[in-house]
Amino acid sequence: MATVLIVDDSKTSRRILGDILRAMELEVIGEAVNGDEGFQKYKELKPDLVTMDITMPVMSGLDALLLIKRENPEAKVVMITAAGQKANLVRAVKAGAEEFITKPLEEDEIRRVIGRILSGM
Amino acid sequence: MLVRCVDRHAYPMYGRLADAKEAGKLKTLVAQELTGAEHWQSGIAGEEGGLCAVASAFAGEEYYEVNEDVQDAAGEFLNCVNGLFAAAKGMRNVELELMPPEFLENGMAEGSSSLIMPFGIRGAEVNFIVTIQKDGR
Repeated sequence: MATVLIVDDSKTSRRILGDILRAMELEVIGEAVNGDEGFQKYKELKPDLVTMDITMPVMSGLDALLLIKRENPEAKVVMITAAGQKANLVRAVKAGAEEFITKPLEEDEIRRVIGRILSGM
Repeated sequence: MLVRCVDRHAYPMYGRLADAKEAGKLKTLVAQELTGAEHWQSGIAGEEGGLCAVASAFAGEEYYEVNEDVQDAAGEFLNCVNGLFAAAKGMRNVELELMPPEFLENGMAEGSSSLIMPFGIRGAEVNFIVTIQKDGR
């Protein structure tokens, strides 16, 4: 069973995403509420996949992505953001993000994107 | 957007322009700034029942009083609405960056001008407020 770390400052989004991931028979091994906590938990838990919100207080998802990729260039990170953040998504892809998902979270899109990444692992 | 993100029973009402102080006086539950080529702030204010209805429909859970969970869900709703606004602006080559939603106790910052767009949901009224900030371009 693949393991996932969810990084998002919104409790609502963490719950919705967690419910979908668990329905996909993935194991959510941790949650974090900002990029700094996400990076610390990544080092601690070594998940197979990270879902990373971009807009967060304390440390953004983009900065956390850079730290995670420096720690492990093979890390699989999916960026999650509201629509209209094209510049941030371009930065994320250049920094090594695998994919992105736009909010509002839609189950079909999450299954398609994460399923594709996991099938390539 | 209301239907997609919240509830197919939500319906828009007549919006109105407001002076600089009026929007700042509304008891805003949550607000979000958009910065970059322009500077906007938008927020959600309204009756407790309406705010709970927005949060309940967006989160898929029932809430009966305004609490941290309602603020969080309303903030995510606002984030999604503003994301679509930013996307529309981006198509005109105006790039906007979304800041994290903020939970407010003293209302929104006073802006240069505001648009108040009420909508009805489950028998209650909620105001969606958009303000262009004084330093907005």
